[in-house]
Amino acid sequence: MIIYRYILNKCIKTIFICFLSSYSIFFIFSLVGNLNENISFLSIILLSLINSFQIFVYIPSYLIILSLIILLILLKSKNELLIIKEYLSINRTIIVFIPIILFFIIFDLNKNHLNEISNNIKSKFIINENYNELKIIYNKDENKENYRVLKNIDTKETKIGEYLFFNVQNQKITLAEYNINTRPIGDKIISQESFHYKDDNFANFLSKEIIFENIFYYIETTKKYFNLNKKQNKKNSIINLNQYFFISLFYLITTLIIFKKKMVDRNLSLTKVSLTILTIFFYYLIINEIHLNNYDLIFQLISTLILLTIFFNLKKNE
Amino acid sequence: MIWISQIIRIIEFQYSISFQIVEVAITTLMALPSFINPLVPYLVLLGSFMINYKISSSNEIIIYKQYFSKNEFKKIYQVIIIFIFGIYLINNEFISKNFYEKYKNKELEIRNNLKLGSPAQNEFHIDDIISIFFDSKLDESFFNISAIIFKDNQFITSDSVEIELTKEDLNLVFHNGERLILNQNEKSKTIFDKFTFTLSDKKLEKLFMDKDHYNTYELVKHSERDFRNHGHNKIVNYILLIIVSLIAQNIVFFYKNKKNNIFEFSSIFLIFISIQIINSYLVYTLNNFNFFGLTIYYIINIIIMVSAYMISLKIIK
Repeated sequence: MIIYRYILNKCIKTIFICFLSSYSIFFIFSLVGNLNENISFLSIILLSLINSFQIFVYIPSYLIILSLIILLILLKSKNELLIIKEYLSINRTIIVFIPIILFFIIFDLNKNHLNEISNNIKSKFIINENYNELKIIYNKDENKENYRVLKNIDTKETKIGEYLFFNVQNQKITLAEYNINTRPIGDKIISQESFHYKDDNFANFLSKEIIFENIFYYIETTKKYFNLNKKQNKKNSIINLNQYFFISLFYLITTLIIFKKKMVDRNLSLTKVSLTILTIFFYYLIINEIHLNNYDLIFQLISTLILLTIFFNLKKNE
Repeated sequence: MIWISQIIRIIEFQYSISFQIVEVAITTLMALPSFINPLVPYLVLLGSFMINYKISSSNEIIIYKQYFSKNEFKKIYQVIIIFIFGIYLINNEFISKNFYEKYKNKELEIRNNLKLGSPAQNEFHIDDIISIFFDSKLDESFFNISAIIFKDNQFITSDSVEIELTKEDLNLVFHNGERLILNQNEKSKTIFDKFTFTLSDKKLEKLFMDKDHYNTYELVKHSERDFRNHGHNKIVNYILLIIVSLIAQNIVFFYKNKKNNIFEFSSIFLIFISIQIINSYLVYTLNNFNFFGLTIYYIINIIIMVSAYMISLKIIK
């Protein structure tokens, strides 16, 4: 138990030091870059702090890669790795790292959400003319498509300058709506006057009607495009499931490489090990960013399969 | 890490990625020399911490101290530092400037030409100008199109759209479709065989000359105030590198018997981070307030840096 606690403590300490030193470097980099922003210095500092955090959000795996490489150097320099390997099998070593790996997997999976939160906070510090200029909410099925466009949104007053709605069936515009005179009631937008297009006819309506609901969900985020297609989301959920597996495999492989039997050898070149880890790291980053129009699922599955093969190969050689 | 985050950032801008990832990687690689400049003093500091840890943990430092005098150490160290300073100077004044220009042109080309491959999720958006949704794609043609042109509230459905790229314009040629316009001045619907929407170079991103396009001399002589101030900030960074190098010289051979140096090193690192924050504030004040002059800027910075040097020396004494 002592050895478990010792490794875990040492690893957390290393991650913490790596995080702080990297964060400081990113902060300086961001601070220098943000000095031109037309906002108060305090806002620049806060903006730089968020920007630095966002670099970790983009690539959270970087932190664990760096920390594990440094941990390996530390453990090797005092021959502690030899003792660890003497007492713990590779499976047990992985168990020690499970909490850390889990933390990074969760972080990695939620990085888009965290990025969005960071962007929302950032938008409060920067007066950006384009911000909330436009929102597009759409639902595209096989034969039926709906598009809603919100233009010139005033987030403070919950007002929409222009509201557009288009309905398309079999590649023909069947219905359209245009509103400029709107007012908010709670989270709903009420139209006072609207202009309709239906079956080649245009008509003006003066009646009050609810044209948009749940407005806060859309305007309180910097996100611009909202796809409501459930079928697309279902397809995405299979890809997501594969992604969970892919990310988990990546972290497991990294840990396996760091703590494999050969590492005890004092003559083993750390540069070679670091290069191996970096190659897997780049592979992981690239695959995560590639989205194909066709056969995307197959492509993602093959990528996972490659990692799975590496994982079993490493396990076999232990 | 900054390089990788740049790649991801550019890729995310286009919601797409395919075979051009190498092109993006090479492009962003060209920005690295200018990204590295403000970080060099801190990298020297971190490097000296690491060297100290390495030679302390293996007790090499005791052996070195037995065989070399303090002056001999200093001579070796000074050669290394002059070398680092030389590289920093060349990078700051020549390499980064040239590479940054190439980087900006290439980045602009990538963004404007939508060269990042086919958009994922069957949609692509060009800023707040146009959004295009499609079912399939072949080369530069997209099929079963619904498009929204935000100016004048135009909505288009068509069988296909082709992207034609000229040196100055980006043309979107829609085939066989209908166009609905709904705005305060016009309400109309037209059926077309061919409709061309042109994005002229005015609407595309233009290359702006920013501070990284110039070296220190050009910045100091620049007509715009914040560019001149950035030039002076670069000069302060040279002084900072010299101060940091002097501290690093003492850090490398700092030895406390069987003691962890993490507290001392983090304190020194924090001091120099604070210097950067103060310097940034001074640059901000220089840019925004007339009462604050360059002489005061240099005096404050030198006082702070000399104080930081003295405090750091005391910490590792």
